[in-house]
Amino acid sequence: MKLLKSLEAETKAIIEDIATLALYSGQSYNELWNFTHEERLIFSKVLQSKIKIDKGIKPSQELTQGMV
Amino acid sequence: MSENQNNPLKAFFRKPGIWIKLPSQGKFYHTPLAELNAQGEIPVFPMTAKDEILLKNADALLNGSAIRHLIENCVPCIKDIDGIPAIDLDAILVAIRRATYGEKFEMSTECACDTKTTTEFVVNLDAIISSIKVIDEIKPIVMDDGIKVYVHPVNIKSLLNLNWIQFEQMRNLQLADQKGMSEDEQLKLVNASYDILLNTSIQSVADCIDEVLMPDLTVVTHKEHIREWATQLARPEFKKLEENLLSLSDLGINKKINVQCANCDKQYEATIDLNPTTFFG
Repeated sequence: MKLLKSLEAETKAIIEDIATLALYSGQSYNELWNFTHEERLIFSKVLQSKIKIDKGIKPSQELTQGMV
Repeated sequence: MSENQNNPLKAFFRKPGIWIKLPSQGKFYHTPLAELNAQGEIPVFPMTAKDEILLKNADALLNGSAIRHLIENCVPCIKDIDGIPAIDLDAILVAIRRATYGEKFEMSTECACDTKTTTEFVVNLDAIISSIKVIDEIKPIVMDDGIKVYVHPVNIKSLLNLNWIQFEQMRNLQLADQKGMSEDEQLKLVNASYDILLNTSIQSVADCIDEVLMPDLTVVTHKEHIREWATQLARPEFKKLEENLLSLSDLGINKKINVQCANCDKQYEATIDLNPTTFFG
């Protein structure tokens, strides 16, 4: 039962991951299912950078751990 | 020319994540492997999100369709999925994990000491892949009465079938318990389950026997005769056959890891669990 619950939770996490990427990137939800794990990580990283740039945040203006 | 070669989008197809040497080197397959390179390696592709989600489906994992689908997608040069020898399966699973999530695999084990301390560590999958051993020949199993049994490794079809039947029988017994069956009825059910498991096990072993060489050098290759002989074997003799066949699966890759307990400092041997439910989790 514990295993089934964990499998269900992991399934939901992947679907949420794909749905988030599709909504924020405007890419096709179906197409994103063909992405590998590494491609999703890279895609997500690039998307985050793009969103920051769109909001006018330059990489040099980001608050990093070293500045705190 | 295949459809793939004509496709103008070929350059944009998913790229192989890794190339591995199969322990069997393509022997024991009914359909020859496509795409073996000069070093005898095959390409293994990373999983897509579609593959990952299939591995989270309990039914697909239990009936074997998740594994079949996974290999079909990630190791497309293997056409005969059911015929994959078990000695190759472990290497394939490690390679798919490596190609998808990288070389690090985190696992934990429990020491047998009093405190049952759990030790967490990281396994380098590249090291395991580079230590894959190629199986040149399988020695015959010599029985106590001098009979030599020439075998090939158990294949995925037999392995998955056996797992599924084991699961079904266990589920039937649990259901019988829940339904409040009488002891007599439960005993009948246990006996019937035992018979089904035993027959499946005998069939799986018999399927792996290519020929039997008798002490007078008579060779028996007739499948039905071999199955009948396996059915009549004494328990220790059958166990010897079964254990020898199962041990073939461990020849390809080294799944043993030396671990030091964080509490008692004792070194012990742990085995990497390649069960897809947890290995790809």
